[in-house]
Amino acid sequence: MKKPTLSPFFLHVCKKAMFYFGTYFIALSLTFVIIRLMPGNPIQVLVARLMAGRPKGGPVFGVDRLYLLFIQEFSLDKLAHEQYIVYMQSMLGSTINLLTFRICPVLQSANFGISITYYPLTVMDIMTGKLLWSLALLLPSIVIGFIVGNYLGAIAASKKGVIDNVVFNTSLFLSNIPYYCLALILLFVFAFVYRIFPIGGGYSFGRIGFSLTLDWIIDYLHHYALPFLSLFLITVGGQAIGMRVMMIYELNSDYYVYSKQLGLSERKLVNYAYQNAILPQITGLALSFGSIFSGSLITEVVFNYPGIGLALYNAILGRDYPLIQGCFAIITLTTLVANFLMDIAYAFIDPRIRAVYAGEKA
Amino acid sequence: MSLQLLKQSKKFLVGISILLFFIGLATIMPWFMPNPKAMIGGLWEPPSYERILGTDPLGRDVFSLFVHGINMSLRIGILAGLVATAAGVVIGAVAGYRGGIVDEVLMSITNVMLVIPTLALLIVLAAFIQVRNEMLMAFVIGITSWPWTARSIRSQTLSLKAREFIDLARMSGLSEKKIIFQDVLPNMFSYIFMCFALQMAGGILSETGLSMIGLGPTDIVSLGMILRWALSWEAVRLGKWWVFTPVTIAITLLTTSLLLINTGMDEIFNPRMRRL
Amino acid sequence: MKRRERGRENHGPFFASVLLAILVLSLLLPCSKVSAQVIPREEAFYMESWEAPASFNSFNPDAPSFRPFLEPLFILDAWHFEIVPWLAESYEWIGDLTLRITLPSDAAWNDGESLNATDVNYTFSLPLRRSEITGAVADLWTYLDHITVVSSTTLDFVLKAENPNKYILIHTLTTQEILPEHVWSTKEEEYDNLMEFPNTENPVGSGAYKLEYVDVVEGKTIWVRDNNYWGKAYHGLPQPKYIVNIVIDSNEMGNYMLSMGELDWSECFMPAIWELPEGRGTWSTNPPYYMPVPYMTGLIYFNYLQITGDDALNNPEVRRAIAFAINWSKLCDVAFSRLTTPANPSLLPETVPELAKYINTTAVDQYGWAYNVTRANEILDDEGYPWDAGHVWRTYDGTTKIGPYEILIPDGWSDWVAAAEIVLGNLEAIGIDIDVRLCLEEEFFTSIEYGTFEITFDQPSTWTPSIPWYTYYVIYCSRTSPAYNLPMPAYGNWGSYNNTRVDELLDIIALTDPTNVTALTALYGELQYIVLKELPFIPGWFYGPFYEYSETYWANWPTENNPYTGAVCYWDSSHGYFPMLFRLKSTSDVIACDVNLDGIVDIEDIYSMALAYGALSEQPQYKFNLDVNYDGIIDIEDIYSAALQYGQMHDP
Repeated sequence: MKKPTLSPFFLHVCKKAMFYFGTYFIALSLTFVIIRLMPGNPIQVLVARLMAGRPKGGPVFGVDRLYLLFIQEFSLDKLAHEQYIVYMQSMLGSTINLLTFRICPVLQSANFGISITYYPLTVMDIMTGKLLWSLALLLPSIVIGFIVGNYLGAIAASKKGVIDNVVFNTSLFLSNIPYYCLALILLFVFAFVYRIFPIGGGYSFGRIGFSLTLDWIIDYLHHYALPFLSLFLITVGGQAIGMRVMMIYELNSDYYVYSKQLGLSERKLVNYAYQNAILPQITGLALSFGSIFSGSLITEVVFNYPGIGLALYNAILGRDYPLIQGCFAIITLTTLVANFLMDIAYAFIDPRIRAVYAGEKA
Repeated sequence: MSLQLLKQSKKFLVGISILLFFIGLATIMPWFMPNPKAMIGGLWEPPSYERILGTDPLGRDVFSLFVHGINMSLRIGILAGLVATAAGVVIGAVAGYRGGIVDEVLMSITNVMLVIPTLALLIVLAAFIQVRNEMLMAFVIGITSWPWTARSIRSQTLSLKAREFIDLARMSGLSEKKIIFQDVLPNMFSYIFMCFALQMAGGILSETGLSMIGLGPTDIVSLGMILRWALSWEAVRLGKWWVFTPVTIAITLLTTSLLLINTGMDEIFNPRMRRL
Repeated sequence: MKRRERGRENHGPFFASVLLAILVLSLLLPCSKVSAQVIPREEAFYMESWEAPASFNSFNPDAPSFRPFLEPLFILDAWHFEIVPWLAESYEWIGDLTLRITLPSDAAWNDGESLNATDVNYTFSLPLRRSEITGAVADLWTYLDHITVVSSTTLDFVLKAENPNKYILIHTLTTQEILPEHVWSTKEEEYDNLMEFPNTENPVGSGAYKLEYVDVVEGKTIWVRDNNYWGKAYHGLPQPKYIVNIVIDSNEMGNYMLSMGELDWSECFMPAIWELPEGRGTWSTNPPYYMPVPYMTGLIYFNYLQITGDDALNNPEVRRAIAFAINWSKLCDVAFSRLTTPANPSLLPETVPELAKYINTTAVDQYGWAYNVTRANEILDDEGYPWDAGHVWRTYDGTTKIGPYEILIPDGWSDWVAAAEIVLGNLEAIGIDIDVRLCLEEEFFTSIEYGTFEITFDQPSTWTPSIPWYTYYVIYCSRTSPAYNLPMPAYGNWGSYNNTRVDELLDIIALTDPTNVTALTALYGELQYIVLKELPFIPGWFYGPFYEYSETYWANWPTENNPYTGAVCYWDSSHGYFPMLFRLKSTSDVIACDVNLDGIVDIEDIYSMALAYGALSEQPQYKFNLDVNYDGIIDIEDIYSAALQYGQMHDP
């Protein structure tokens, strides 16, 4: 009887999933430590003040409501380890709720907490929309930037000479401009000096809700262009530099030099080199998703683009602690999910990994 | 010997000269302009012969703010870079040399830290710290950015570990700590310096980003703070380019120079990077 | 030649299509809610606000201040400084203690029910039954004895004989919106805490606008004009069909949007306001640009709960020296970008005759100040705080340094941050060490309400129906201070200044007939003498109401050259912006000429103009919406414009 064996690919996926889950757990715990346990942390100070201000007579609306909300949200009446358990339960439950697109009725109340500034809306209500806006900005700029950047890097490496210099220097410059600096410059040049694009926002005011009319789509793209450009250009720069390095490795490698001397066509060889060089680029992309996401947070603030970055910034200004906590959890979650998906894709593409699991390689 | 080699790399030379220019500007000029926050001019004056970069919305000399800002950003960058490099080197070297469980544990931690979005973590951290002075902020930035260094140092350690002179050192009975600090690390010095350059660039960028959204060290003059004032006094809308453009260029040049140093050294020391 | 190399699969097309799919889908991600309505720009009035529209309950302190679906009995015209009847028809003092209010007989709610004295009585009496209602209307009952409903259109407000404070009564009549009794009385059973009632579902009101759309996360509220507004015979119908209210989170964003024409009206602090482009404006093109009235007064507060005993700051002369040391005009020029003017030490503006007549010029000359560093140093030397050559700062006796003192400023309020820096520099020049500490907005508010700061700034509201009494009351009366109110939050006199005679004077003034100028002059004179001599807080600057507008879609804004009403902010508690809303003219001729706003420019519109032909703006037949070119007379030019637009339609 043949023993049923798990597909090696599945094992790989499970291993990665466990790693990412562990990372998420640690990230959530870090947030807990930062927000609850740091000495003199703002929540404790605020609650102490609220308690001092509590009137002897009847309730004072604002003070009392905030006080009760804090006690409820952060279970401040419990001990530290109890707080931790409640916190983790709530966060993990909310995460599952979010990942299952809120279908599961049992988890309906797990919603990352109630926001203070938008009371009584929950963090989940607020963030789902904003997350979609952030993703709409990130994904196309990363994907298109990846394709264009790698292509340019490969060309630079294989053609050498003037093209190499030009591409290298431009990419070096572009990849090193901080996201917000490029955003400011683009804003100044294209929204102020030459009034081609609007100065910010996701769409113009007179629109209630969203619609799929051509009109709306054009307006949306009009507001989308500058934030997109500021992320896209830097991604192109970064990818070009990286790809150039990888290609140079490949171009110097034994098999390449040997095959070239054997007389194989340059074009085909470059193609092979490209396919080899792009694998680590994909890993690199997975790792840099986190940094691009972080960079886009400040870009959103500069352009007033209604995504997570702006929400986090406003939450911090308004000291809306549940919202800060929830935003960070969602940002981390997005990064981890993206990395996980890219790991799976990478496992598909790279034949070496599959070979390991199929037992061909030691 | 290495210095001779380095002089051959154009990239390294360009990078180091830009960096030295900024360091020079930042150390010498502040002596002549001790009080950057003094409101000495008219509001929003464009650049002129007396004031090379004009004045800001409060009548302060932008050039004076600029050089003090570079000074502060460099200081925080160097400090953060030192913290990050130190942490990364120790963790990477120990993990690489020891191997086994220690390696697994340290690398898991490193991978976790690599994946968590750093700037978001920094933003949350900065929002909850009560007191934000430059030392504390540099330290905080440093301890959130060591993973890259740890990883690279670890792979370098692994390759060095296989070399004969390490075996000799082990056989001669030196303690592990001594081997790591006396034999392994000194051989990686150029590599460590490269990592430091990267970390310093990252530190400058992080501080600028945090200061720009108001979460940087309070009450200092740094490039990020200048950008923040530019934004809150609406310099872009009013078209007062001299308030934010030089700062933007300075930040880009600073980080580019550090990365050029890094790439230049990489080209010299890393054989795989040589062009045939 | 084989197309596919053996052993190497071609994943290219697969991945290309996956990528393409990701791209297209992700671009369309935000289109998660589909709706077809777009508001025509020329029919809409765009404004901004800072509060999230989660509740439209008048008693909820977090609710947005702009609630055009409700109306108060009277409003305050901030420029002419007059009480203008709005919901009510008139008021009349009967004897010393009774105020009789008359309502129009045809007032109605937007759900059809009639609005009468029952609703007014209900609204003002709520705090008597519901203890959770706090605020101005609750405070009123300290002075109000009872309300008598004389008839369905008449009520009497009767003040208590022992402290009939007319100022507070009149003030509350302009701030309290009248609520529908038939709706709210049913909510009383439903809610333990009446302030929890959100009132966001088809809220019933008497105003000219109804709620059309609200989304808290988007921060957008859309109001639509009620063409059946009961008041159209009295106030006309406002031309903007929609009011779109967007929540912004920074002054910069608001100013951007205004300069790009995406906002019509804003109240953001605008630096370099003199550089506003064509088609945008504010009250005046000369400093101080905003309406030159002390809408808010900036003061430097010292906290006497923290500053006690022999502390140098506890010495009035030291505080006076500080007042001499600060370069007030530079403060106004630089920190406030020329939008403020240095305040008169008496807290009364010389530019407003009705208030200026109470200025005690003797006291101001004797105890007042102007920027003079030499004099400041002289005072400190005379008071015995030596500044020896060896020391950086002044000392008490040669060794113990004075200070350092901490000024608490909310971070992000760029004008205050800049002002604090200037003050810092000025005080260094006379040898006093202070630190500026930037804090969060909420910490700032808590610290002033609970008296935990050392030095700070604030800008209390000083242009209300109850000034000048209210100005001195909110700044100097011990009953508004933290010392008196703790553990409840304070609502004025943040520094807990306590002077029995001042409190007495304030109470006497409150009971004095506002027309008795002689008595009042003497009383205010003594009051100023005391507070100027003791100088507990330093009056700094007068701030007009924040106001910027865009003329792209709407015209006839109140300005210095067109001062038909005051130019205030949407958070004006006395609703001074109502006349402006009703008198804005569309720049689109079609809408402007459609005087009955039925959607088409036709004979009815021309007929209305003909009926009022020749009316000048002072005359009763003059209806401002008939005066299409607003030149003050309804004449052939207006009819001609209508004729040119004859038959044109727009969305009504």
